[in-house]
Amino acid sequence: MLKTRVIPVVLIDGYSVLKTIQFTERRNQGNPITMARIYNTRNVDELILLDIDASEQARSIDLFTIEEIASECFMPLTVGGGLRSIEDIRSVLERGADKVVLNTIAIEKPEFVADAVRVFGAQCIVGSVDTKKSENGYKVFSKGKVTDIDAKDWILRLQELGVGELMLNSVDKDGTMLGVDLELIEMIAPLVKVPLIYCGGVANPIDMVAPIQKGVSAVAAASIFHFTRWTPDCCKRELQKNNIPVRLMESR
Amino acid sequence: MHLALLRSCFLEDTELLKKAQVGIAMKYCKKCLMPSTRPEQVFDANGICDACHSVERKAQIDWDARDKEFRALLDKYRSDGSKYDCIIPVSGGKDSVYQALTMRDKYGMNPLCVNHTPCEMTEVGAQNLTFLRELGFDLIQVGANRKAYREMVRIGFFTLGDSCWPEHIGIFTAPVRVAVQYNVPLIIWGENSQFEYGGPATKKDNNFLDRNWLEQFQMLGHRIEDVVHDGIKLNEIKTFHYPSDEEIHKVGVTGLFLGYFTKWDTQHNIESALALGWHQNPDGPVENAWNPYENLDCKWIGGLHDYMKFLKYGYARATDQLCIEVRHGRLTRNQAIDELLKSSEGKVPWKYVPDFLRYLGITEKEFTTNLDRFTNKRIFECDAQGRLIKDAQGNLTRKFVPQKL
Amino acid sequence: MITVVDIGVGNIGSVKRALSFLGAEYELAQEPAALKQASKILFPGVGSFCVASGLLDKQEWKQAIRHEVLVEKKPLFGICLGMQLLFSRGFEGDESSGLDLLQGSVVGLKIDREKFKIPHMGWNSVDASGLSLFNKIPDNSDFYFVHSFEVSPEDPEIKVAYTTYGDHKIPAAVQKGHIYGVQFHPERSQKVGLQILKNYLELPC
Repeated sequence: MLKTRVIPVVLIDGYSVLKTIQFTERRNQGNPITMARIYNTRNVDELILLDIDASEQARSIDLFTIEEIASECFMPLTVGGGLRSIEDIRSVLERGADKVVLNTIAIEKPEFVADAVRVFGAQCIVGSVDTKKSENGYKVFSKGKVTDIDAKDWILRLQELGVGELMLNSVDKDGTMLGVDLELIEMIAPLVKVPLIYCGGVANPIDMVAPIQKGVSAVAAASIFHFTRWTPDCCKRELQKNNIPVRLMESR
Repeated sequence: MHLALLRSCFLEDTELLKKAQVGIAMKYCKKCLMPSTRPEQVFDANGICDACHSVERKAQIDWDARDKEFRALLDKYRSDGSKYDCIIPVSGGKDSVYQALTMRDKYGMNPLCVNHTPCEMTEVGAQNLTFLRELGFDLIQVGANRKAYREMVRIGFFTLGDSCWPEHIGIFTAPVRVAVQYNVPLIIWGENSQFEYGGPATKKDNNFLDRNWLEQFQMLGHRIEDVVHDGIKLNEIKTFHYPSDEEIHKVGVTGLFLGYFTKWDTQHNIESALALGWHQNPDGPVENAWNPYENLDCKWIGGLHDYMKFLKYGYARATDQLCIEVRHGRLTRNQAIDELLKSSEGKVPWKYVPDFLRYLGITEKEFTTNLDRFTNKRIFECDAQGRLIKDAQGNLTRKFVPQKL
Repeated sequence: MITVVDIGVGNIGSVKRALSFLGAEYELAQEPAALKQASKILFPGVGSFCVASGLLDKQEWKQAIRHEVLVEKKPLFGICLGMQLLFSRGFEGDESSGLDLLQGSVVGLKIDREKFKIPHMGWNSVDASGLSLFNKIPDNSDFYFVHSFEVSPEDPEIKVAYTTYGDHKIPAAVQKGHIYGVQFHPERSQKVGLQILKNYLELPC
């Protein structure tokens, strides 16, 4: 039986790991090798690694730090941040990524997503959407601003472009540890035909249960692992208690 | 045509490289020497770190009011002398002396000192714990079994890049365990390091220390239960288990920062402790530090632990200590830079390395390979193949030092 | 010496890293002639069957691999797309031919697409069914899968280990004589995955 995934997210800025709060405030969480080795020790299902300033600073993704982290990991690695060309994607895959995340570029040039799918295969391409609730419903959030693109429409568009997986990020909930955005999940999950990852707001293991029950394939989180007592295994044990199949490793 | 193509490829690569390196240079506080690489460090828009702001705010604090607040709190806990009424976590260092004496002699409390034995105690460390008892304090020393402790040091060194990981946990856990087991709810910690050195807004103004503080600031992202992945059984490391929420609640354990209620002054703590007969480091400044007064109790907490901090973040204990001097007006920033460059910060702390290799049963090659792995190669000189350049003693060359302003 | 076929499809980096971690000596074969020195062959691949088939033809790999495996009797281990290419033909995109070392086809996942998502992505348990690749691995261990197509063996002598997705059993690993294949990514499946690679490395040549 296919297992539900719990996926830690690691944000990097230069050679530091950091955590954001509502996509604005930042906390420096230290050395990336430490972080990589911790998650490798924990046998996590997958790791998502994002260079969060690459797009904003209009620079290439930090290949050096990506490679440093990738060299420590024997679990699936999804990498994103400022990827804008076929060459960018190839560089990241060569350095150890299995999947890449496309976010900003997809909004600027949707046809690029289809190109990337054609060259690398759908299973390599994750379409990522940052969303924020506005008076007119959930909108796509990009480059620090709320756009007028409807989040639901955009998710469906990315799906049409052929991505192998979708990642849904709640800007409102990011880093707050105030619980997940169930309204957003309930709206999006039923429409998605590819695997769907949700990220934003998880504070306790139990927060992961409802998203899965509502059709999300995997839950990603960061703050809970940086700032609380909970580990990915704690989250999985809670999922297991709720009859959700997960992969729980025995100790080495 | 071919050459032009080649040239354009080369240019594109270096451009890519340059783009990839934007934002990599280390930035330093304009008032002290704290670098941006420090975890949890916060800088304002003018490039001033929040520890410098804390010092300014310290000067504004109504210490009389805080003292009153503290006394009112303590009145609720003070015993008639027949029982302990507060726990003082101690390492035997200068701050331990200050905390213990302040609580007993200034506030009339009846402290029980609690120490979690470090990874490998030094002679001067043992002397200073005895010294505390000479001053009239009862002391509980929690000695975790060396077998499991060693394996936790191994995890700290190889997985986390901090040889003293279990020591940090022990310091913040043992006193809480004793508080629960002896039914002494009040724990008096020293300074709030998030306030004194910089930290997130939610935590640095706290007057209390709880389990979450330990998890956020001492554990480097790893958790106690993670040790099972490396073959350690949870039952083998009981001294590192934080009491349950139920136990904490039942006893009413409350951990307060003395540094919140009294004006913390490291220099004053040093001078008064020395005057009473406390022992400083007999060999002069501790390796990778500037003064001979801190991190004396373990062979590796000063030295190796600080050196690993240097490899990861480009600064070590000397920087921390010199920042304190600058913030308290005892040195100018430029003088501090001179002192920093003269100090042993960034030199491989060979003194206790043979002990460490023996302790873990590893070779020097395994040791240095691991140190290299945790090194942030962007902030040290490397050769054309990207390998770290080392001198005959294995020392690296930093690419960045704070500039005089 | 293990030789890793590198025709330009997929993430060779992770495989190399896993082999280094296991202390294995390996070399990359970027042209068919390099297979002559191989004692064992590893064929990782990610991407489209049809594109890979085209590359194998263009670079004249098919004959070389078939010779080394069928005549010289060298063990061959295909990973993911590499396993799919061991078979006779594939229907991803246009119909194209594989290495035809194992009889069968590569077809779209035969699951109920209304109820279950494509690709089959994530960790799933494999019933080892006695395949020697799974020695020293606990029963029903989870491995990491990411694929939209599955192999459909047509030769009863091919041993198959299955994983279950929805109500459908997907071939997760195959073996016939000295030819092996896994649909999942052992180089990404942490401890048990590394053991799969180790088992292949330790096979007698």
